[in-house]
Amino acid sequence: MNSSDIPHQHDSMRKINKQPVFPAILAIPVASIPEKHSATVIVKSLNLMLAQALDDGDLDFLEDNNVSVNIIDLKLKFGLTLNHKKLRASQWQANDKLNLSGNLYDFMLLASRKEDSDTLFFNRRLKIQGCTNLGLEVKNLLDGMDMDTVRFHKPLDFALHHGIKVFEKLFR
Amino acid sequence: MELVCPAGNLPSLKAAVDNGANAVYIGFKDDTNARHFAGLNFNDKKALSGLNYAKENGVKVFAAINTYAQTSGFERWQQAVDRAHDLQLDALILADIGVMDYACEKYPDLRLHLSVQASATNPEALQFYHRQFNIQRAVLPRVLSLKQVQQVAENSPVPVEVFGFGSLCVMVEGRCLLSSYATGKSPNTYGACSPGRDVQWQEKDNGVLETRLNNILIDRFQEGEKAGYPTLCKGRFEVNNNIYYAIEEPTSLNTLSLLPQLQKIGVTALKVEGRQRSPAYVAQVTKILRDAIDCMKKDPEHYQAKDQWMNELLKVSEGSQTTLGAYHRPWQ
Repeated sequence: MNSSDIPHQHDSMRKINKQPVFPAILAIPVASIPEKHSATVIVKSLNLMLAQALDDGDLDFLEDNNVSVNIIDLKLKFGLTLNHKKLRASQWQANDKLNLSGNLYDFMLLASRKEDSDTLFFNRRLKIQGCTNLGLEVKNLLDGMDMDTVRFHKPLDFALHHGIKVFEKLFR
Repeated sequence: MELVCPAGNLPSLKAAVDNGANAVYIGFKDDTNARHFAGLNFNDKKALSGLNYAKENGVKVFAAINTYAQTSGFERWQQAVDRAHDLQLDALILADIGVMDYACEKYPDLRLHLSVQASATNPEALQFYHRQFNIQRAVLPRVLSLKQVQQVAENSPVPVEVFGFGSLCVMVEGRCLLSSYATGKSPNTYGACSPGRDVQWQEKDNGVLETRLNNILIDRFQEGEKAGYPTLCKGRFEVNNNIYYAIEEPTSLNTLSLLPQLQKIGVTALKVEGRQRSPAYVAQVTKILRDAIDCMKKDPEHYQAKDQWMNELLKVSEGSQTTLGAYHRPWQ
């Protein structure tokens, strides 16, 4: 066998590289906010930002489907669902119809479209459990969304872009 | 050499165009294409918007209508051809001879490409498709070695396109029925190796991630171990008391080191796999392949794949490993 037949691999091969993590001490204030309040703020912001997508029916697949999100290092858990074309807060559940979990850094990479969700999933950085089709709908909604229809996307992109840089500098 | 990139949604199409693709291929929102996943692909509005964006930038758009039409529902494949024609897309990528017949009879001017799913591996087969359906290009299956690609290309009546980068399957495209044993559906008939509704991921308390396809355990990833797509061919099975990837390892094809040879043997286009991936992947891979092709064209004699390109591509590869696939099989 010729040497070029040998698969080209990462040094770490099937092991996963370490990623920046939000420090536990800084997460204490977030963890102290009751889940109900943080979920309400998140859902209200999303309704405002995604008004056009909600109106166009792009999120209709969430109707009566509950999704629970866990941003592990930020110690932030919340649930959401769709009811009459509006996102509503729901209680976070460990075995929801769909559970998404990962660290803040990876969610920021996803939101800023700097990283591919399959790449994060292969690397065990993004966990998706429950209904796979619902997971695919969420992933493809995020991937396929026209950012120009998202309200405040420019300041959000700016914040994410700089947030990621700061994160990499401070917490890696 | 034309660079043909995948798009499962509008931002991916734009990412491909912005990063140097010469053509982008898309699918419609049903089982007429081989990436039939929830929430993926284009409706007419998005396809038109993408087409306009591509045209403004001098990039072509192809439609993959590359599954095999079923007895019930042939009209879906007809409608897909009609839509691609009405949208004035640049080419249709077809596999099924019934669909090809419909397309070339109804729209004789429509440009047809033979899909990899047609599994045509010799010049005689290509001559048949060319004569019968006037195909203008053929995408060669990934079962051929470089020498065989050369033999086919030299004797083909139409230019050939080959895969340059992306997830590899067991490379019997167009002939694979493996997943139908577990789910009753196969990529050729349903448009997905692992239909979402049949896939279960479950992480145990000890960090072990289990994948099931229609309740059949196909892999178990230890904590900290990289995962792959939930397909039967890339599952780990017990054979003679050993548990291993008995059919195929999760891996991606990477032909960066072969670009000069591919150009020399007359390959007309290089295709990137991955309509199911996100805009970030499309942007990263398109940019690297664009740089590599440009670099190779400037000086094919001294061209070498840069480490930086190879490492970037590794990062987005399934299983974080890449191979030359069948291109490098001296015995073949």
